[in-house]
Amino acid sequence: MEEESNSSSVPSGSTVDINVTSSTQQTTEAPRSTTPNTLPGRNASPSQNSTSSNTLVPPVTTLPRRPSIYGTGEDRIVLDIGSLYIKAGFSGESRPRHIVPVYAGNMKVHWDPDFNGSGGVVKACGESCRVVGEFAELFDLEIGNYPDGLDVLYDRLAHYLREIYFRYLLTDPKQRKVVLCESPMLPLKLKQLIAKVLFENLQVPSISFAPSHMLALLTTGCTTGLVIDVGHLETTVLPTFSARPLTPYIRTTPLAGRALTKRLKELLSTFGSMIIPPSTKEAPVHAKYLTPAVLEDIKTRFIFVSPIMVSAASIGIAEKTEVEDMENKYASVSSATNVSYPITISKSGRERQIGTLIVPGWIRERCAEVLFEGDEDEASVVGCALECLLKTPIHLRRPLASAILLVGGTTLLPNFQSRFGQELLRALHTDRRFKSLSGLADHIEFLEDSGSGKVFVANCRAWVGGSLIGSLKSTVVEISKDKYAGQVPDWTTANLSKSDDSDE
Amino acid sequence: MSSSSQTEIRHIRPYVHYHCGCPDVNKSSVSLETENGETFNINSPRIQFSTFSISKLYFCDDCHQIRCPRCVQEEIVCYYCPNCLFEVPTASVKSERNRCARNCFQCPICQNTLSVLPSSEPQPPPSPISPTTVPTVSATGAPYYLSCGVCRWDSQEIGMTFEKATGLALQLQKTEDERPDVKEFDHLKDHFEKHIRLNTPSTALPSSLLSIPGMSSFSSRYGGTVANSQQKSDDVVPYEAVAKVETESGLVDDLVQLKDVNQITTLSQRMNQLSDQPYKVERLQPQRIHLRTKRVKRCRSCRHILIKPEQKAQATRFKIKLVALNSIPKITIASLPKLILNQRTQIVLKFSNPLYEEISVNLAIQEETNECGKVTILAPHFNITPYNEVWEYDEQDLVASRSRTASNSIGIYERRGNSTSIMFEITPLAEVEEFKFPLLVTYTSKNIENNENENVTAVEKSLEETSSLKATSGEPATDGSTKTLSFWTVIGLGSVIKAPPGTSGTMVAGPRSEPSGSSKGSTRGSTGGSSSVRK
Repeated sequence: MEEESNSSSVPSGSTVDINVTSSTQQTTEAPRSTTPNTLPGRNASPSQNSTSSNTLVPPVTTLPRRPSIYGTGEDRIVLDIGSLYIKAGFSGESRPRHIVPVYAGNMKVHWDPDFNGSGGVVKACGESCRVVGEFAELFDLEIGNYPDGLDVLYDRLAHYLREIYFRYLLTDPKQRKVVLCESPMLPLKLKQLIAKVLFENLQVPSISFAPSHMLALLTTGCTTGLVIDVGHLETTVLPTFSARPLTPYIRTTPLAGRALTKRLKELLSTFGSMIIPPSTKEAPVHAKYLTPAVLEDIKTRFIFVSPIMVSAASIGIAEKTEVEDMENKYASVSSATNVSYPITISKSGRERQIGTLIVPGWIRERCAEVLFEGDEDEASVVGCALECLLKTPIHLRRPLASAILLVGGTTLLPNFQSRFGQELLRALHTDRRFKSLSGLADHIEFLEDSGSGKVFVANCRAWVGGSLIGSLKSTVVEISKDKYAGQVPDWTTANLSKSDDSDE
Repeated sequence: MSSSSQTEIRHIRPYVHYHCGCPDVNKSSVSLETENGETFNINSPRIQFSTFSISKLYFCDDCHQIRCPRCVQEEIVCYYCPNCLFEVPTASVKSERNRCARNCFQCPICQNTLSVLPSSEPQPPPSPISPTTVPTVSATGAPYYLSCGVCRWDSQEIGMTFEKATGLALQLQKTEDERPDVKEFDHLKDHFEKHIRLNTPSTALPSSLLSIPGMSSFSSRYGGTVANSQQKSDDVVPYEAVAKVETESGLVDDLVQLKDVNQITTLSQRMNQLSDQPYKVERLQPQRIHLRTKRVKRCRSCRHILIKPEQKAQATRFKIKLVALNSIPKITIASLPKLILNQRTQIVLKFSNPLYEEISVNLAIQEETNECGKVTILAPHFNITPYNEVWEYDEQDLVASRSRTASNSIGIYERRGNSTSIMFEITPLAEVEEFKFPLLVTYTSKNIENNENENVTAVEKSLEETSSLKATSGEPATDGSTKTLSFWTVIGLGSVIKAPPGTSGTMVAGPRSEPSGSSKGSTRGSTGGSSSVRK
């Protein structure tokens, strides 16, 4: 804790200037600061309170932002760039305007109106820019995984962001500042790349980076909690205390959305079956039909997390079942129905041949088990959270354990949270590794249970937090376009770079 | 046909794509890895983002350069609803959430446009014979509902009806404003704003709210003067939520017993309703239609306007329209027989000249053989007669016969009107999903017509061509009255198939099926593999 506060007390010359200038502008707008916004809820703000505090406090940061009628300049663009979906919208709004899925292809190459008939994800928006192509990850967390170099990523990102600005948000990038929700594990190179696209290609005036876990936490109104982000590429557990992300204690595991998709594909190609129209017999599933878009569709629609823990996994949480044995283990205890999923087999011109993919009920129910079974290398989602708690100082454990927040798209699987709670308790009671934590068992609580529930959808929480930060007249540090020289703030080396700046 | 055994989900169509190097964009962004394409590599994944069909390209007259969507700057001039064509003033675009604030809704199921219908109670629904009765019905037809003509969804299913047939968005606005997430968000905002206000003097909070070093604020600088004597609590006052949303009830049970796939929303349906992203179809609501924009496009390097639409939403004309289609030769695939492995095949590319001047065209390829196979240009140099409106009205055959007299040179398939069709010899050497090859097109437009020394210029050009290959493509070279521009194109010809078992491998395939373009295809089929056609 101490080094956290020390590190933040290092003065940084450049950022100070920005803040001072911006706040002086705000002081000039002081008389209009209480102008009611268009939103009626705003009126409920205790105005007498604000005036009283004005007298006490130097007016540098106290005045509420003047709501702008024309919406130019004041509101920021909030971007949460994930590996599969880009969330974009305006600050001060309670939800992103758009969630744009990411495709491998450019729109023109495989433009084909029928392509997504097989249930692929099409984001239809006002500009009729149906992005069509193979659903594909935008980036990977390992920089080594870019055989083509980062150039392609630059092209893709520039393409998407232009689309987002001009077709979805309908706004000029040059006019609005940007709040970027960043995952703490995002490689610095990617962060630099994103900044480069935004500054050079789109010429945005400034970017503020904000840690996504903390942003998500703010949407619950709390500043202390254990934020577990189960995204696509990996699961990240980051304890946050008093609005300070305790980054040294971060834990990650690759068991997340992508692992789930992989498991789904394995299970379907092993145990699923297909009916291809001329015949009425069930044939084994060929892997080529299980395109990323089909898998994503099945994953987001029909998969759920079983409420029943299968008893075999009693010794610790590091318990794995081979894919081949899963049918024996799970099929008998599942009551879920098989689902007949229509799938495009082939097509010529306008005519499509529709086949049926039969998804066994037990796969729907047990596919997500992959997230709860870890091993020595890859901790389960639960194991990851507990390992994180083990690392934190003892006096922080209880407040953190009683403020668990699950965010990220994968946590939207129905029943995920309650199963997570069950697994957590079981691990606390049975796993020797977590013996020292067993006292926490009675204090496990989820923030979504106590507070506002699912007012904000878990996959948007980081974005909503960004929107909140962007609309607060707090002191968000930004890099402006003039100051940008290819470098972005990086929490791992922040102190070094800052001292360099002050030397100059 | 073996299409059923192929069972390919994606069928790659033939195409001609033009490359835009975006010199002015890429200059500023020094590529992260220094591998920069001096040679044009069509297999680079970046090519997807730098090649376009000609219909997407612009042409800057001042720079004499092709401009692509990446190297233009856009400015929004008008917002409008694509359904009612109502122009939305800029001031209200954002507060309307970029959506039509009038009567236009899209279907939550299939995203098609919904129509407003009166419920059938007061009168029987208007008979299709006399649509004029609709207004009379609407006088008494309340309540109204929204109905989708495509998937038959209607808003009565979710209990949504309207008192009046107009201003539906306004009628829904109330529920929109009372959504729990909107209320909760405002409450959160007040909560933190108050907190920041109260804690600023102690300087503890702004830094603690955003305590990542990168986000830490100026407060730490002032922190020295204001001693942390009172040490205000870092912790935010306990927060009381104003809204609470429970999980969709019984969702797991429903999923366990799921029979019909369509009971569960698709991702695109959910993403059109980001306020709650429901799983169950019943909870979907119609969404207002997203606005569109008209945009001015400027050249990034010289700032000249390339596209300027009429400001009115209803007008479809352009005040300025500098599109590539009107400025550079248009290449179409006129004849494309099936590509069979190891068989020499002739394809025909048609070059059309949109200019009022004659142009001479030089073609070049990087190397004769790439990994897909061998490509030979039979007529690398040729002229195209200028465009003339008269041809559009002339009798087709007359024009063709008149101009074909000049087409005795080898490799020229046909000349008619302002176009010349050129033959290519293709020998696929690998069974690839997509046979494609790069083609460097250099054209020179000349104001003075000099048809007689065509051969001389051709020789000159072939000398130039070697140098222009090394130079980055797209460099304009103007000398006197002639203007030269060269650009790369990628020609995609679809998939290569194996030879059918009956035929011998050496036979040259004639153009068996000619999809479009060449009207003389049927008569030509007998000429077989010889390079000169229709003497």
